[in-house]
Amino acid sequence: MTPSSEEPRARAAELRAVLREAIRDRDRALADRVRRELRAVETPRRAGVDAAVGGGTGRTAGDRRRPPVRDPVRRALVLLGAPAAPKLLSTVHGAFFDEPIAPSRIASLRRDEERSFAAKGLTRAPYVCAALTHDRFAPVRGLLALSDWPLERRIIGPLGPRTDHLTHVRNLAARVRDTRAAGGTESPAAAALLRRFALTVPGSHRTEDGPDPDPDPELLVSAAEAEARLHAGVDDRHRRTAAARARDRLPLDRQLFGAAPMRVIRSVTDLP
Amino acid sequence: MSTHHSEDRLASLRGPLAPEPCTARGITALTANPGCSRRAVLDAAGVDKATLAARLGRPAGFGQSPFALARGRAFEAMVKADGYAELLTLLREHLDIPVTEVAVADLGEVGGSTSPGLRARETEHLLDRLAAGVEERLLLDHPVLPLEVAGRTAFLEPDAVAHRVAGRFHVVEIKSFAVIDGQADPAKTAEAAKQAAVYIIALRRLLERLGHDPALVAPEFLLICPKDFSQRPVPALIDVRQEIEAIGFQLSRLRRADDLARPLPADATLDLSVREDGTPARTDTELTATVAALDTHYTPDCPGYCDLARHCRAEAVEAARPERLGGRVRDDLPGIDSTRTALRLIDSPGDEGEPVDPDSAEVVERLRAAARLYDLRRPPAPHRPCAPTDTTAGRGVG
Repeated sequence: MTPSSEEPRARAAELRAVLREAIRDRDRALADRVRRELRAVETPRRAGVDAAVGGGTGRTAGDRRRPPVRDPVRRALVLLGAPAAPKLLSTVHGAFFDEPIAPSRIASLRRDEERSFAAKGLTRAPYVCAALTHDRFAPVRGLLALSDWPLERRIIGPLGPRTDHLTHVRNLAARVRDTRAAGGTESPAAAALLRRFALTVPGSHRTEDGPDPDPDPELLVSAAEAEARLHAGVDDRHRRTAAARARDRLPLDRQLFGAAPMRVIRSVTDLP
Repeated sequence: MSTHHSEDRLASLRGPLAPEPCTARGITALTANPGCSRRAVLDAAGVDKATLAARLGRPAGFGQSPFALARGRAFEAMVKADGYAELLTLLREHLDIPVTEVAVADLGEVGGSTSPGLRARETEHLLDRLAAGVEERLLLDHPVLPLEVAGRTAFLEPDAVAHRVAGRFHVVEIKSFAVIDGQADPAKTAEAAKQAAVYIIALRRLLERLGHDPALVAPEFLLICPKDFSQRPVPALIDVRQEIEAIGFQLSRLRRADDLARPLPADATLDLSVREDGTPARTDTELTATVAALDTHYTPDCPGYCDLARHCRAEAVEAARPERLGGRVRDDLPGIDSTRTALRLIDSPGDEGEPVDPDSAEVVERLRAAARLYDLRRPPAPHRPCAPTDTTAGRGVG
C-alpha cells in the first residue's frame, strides 16, 4: 500500500473498468458514482495533492466518496489472512482501517467479480473469490477469499472454520501488537474485537489478570498459534488432498468461484 | 401404492400451490391436540393455514412476531459466528470437550443447493458414518432429519446436533429467550423441550433405520440461551425423557391423514391459489364447506399455536361446545355436547322437568349440586334469566 505516482493511474484504470461494467449492466447509480470518482482521480491537481498529503492509506477526505467495495474487502482479507464472512470483513475494516463496509454492498461482490473474471480473465487479479467446500468444491455460503491465495488456503474442510478463525485471531492480534510496538494505539473497535476473540481461544488469559482483563496481544498470538498447531496435521492433510483433487478436475474459473450448484432432479416428495 | 394414492388425494386437496413445509413447531402443535382431524389434514396436505384463515373471514392475529424471529436468527448467527467460536467455547467449558475436537459439518447447504431432500440425504450419509465411527464431527450445523408424521414425511431442521458429547449425539437448540439469574421462562423452555423431543425422536428413528443403536442419541438436549441481559450465550443440558415418551405416544396415535381425508366429498377443496386475473380459483364458500366437513377439536390453547384457531373458536361458540371452555369442562360434562343443554338441565328442576336420561343422571346431579353451591356463594341479586353466556356456563363446574 505504498503511495506512489503510479497509484492514481492504476486506480483510474480500475475505475474505468468498473465504469464499463456498470454501463454494460445498466447500473446507472453505480456508473454515476464511479464517473464522479474517476473525475476526482483524474484531475491532475487533485492527484498532486493526494500524492503530497498521501500518508497512511493515501486518501483525502474528498476522495472518500464511496469507493468500490472491492478494495476495502481486499484490504480486510489481506489482514485476516483466511477466508472470512462479510460481517467480519466489515467489522475488521471498521476497526483497523477507516470505516466499516456496508455488508449489503459486499453481498453482490462475489457475483460481480465472477462476471468480471469471465469478461477479462486474470488481468484484474487478484479477485475477491470464493472459499470451496472440501468435498464438492461448491462455494462456501457467505465466505470470501482472494484469488491469489493458494487453493489450499481457500478449501474449507471439517476443521477449516476453526483453523481459519484461529488464523484471523492470530493476524489481528499480531497487527495490534505491532501497532503498539510502533508506539501507536489500536482503535476502540479493534480492542473490542480482540477482547471478544480472546474469550474463545483457550490460554489467552493469565489467571492472575483477574476476571475480565484486556487481552495481551502477544499472549493471544501464541495461544491462537498453539491451538492451530493442534489441528494443523489433520487440517493440512484435508486441504492438500482436496486442493490436489480440485486442480485435477476443475477449470480455473471454477477453482476460483466454485463448482456449479447441484440441482434436484427428482422432486422432494418422491424420496423414499 | 396406497401412499402415493393418498399423497395424490392430499395434493389434489391443496391444489397447484407448493406445500408448506412441516416444522417441529407444527408437530408439537399436532401432538398437543391429537384429536383435531382438521389440523392433521391441513398439515399433511401442506395448506397455508394463515391464508386459509383469512379466506374464511377470520385472519390469524399477528402470527409469529417478525421481531422475535429476527432476534432469534441474530442470536443463532452470533453463537455460530467466527467458525462456531462461541459454541465451541461453551462445549469446551461446560461439557469438557477436548480442544482437539473442532470438526464441523455445515449441512445448511449441499453442493450449493439448499433443497431439503438433498440435505436430508447428506445428513443421513454423514450420520451413518459418524455412528459407525468412520468419521468424526463435533457439530452438525442445521442437519435435516426426516420424520413420518400422520403418513407423510416431514423434514425437520434442528439448529445443530453435537456428537461426541459423552460419546452420544445431542440435539442443540439455540433460543433467544434470556436465562435470567439461572431461570428461564418455564413456558418457553417447555416449548423448546417439546421441539427437541421431536428432533430426538426423528434422529433415533433415522439411526435405527440405518442399523445403528438408537440409544446413541442422548435423551437430553443442549439448550443455549442468552445470559441475563447480555448477548453472552449460556448452555443447559435438559432431560426430555418425559417429553420423548409423551410425543412418541402421540405420534403413534396420530391417525393417518389420508384416512381422515377419505370421508371428504369428491368436490372438497382447500385450493388457495389465485388465477392470473387475481380472482381466487375456488370460492370462499367451497373452502368453508370443506373445512366444516373436517372434524375439529377446539381447545382454549389452540390460539397459541394454530392460525385457524379463531375460525374454530367461532364454530365452537356457535355450537356452544363445552370444549371451548377447556378440557376440564369437557371432562366434567360427559355425554353433554353443548353448554346450552347443560344450562337447560340445571334450570329444569329434576322431577318436573324433562325426563333425565339415566346415562347422564350422575352428570345432571353434579351439575345441579354445583349450581346450588354457586347460587349460595353469589351475593343476593335480582334473579337473572339464564342465557347461554360464558359466565353462566362456567358455573356448571363451579
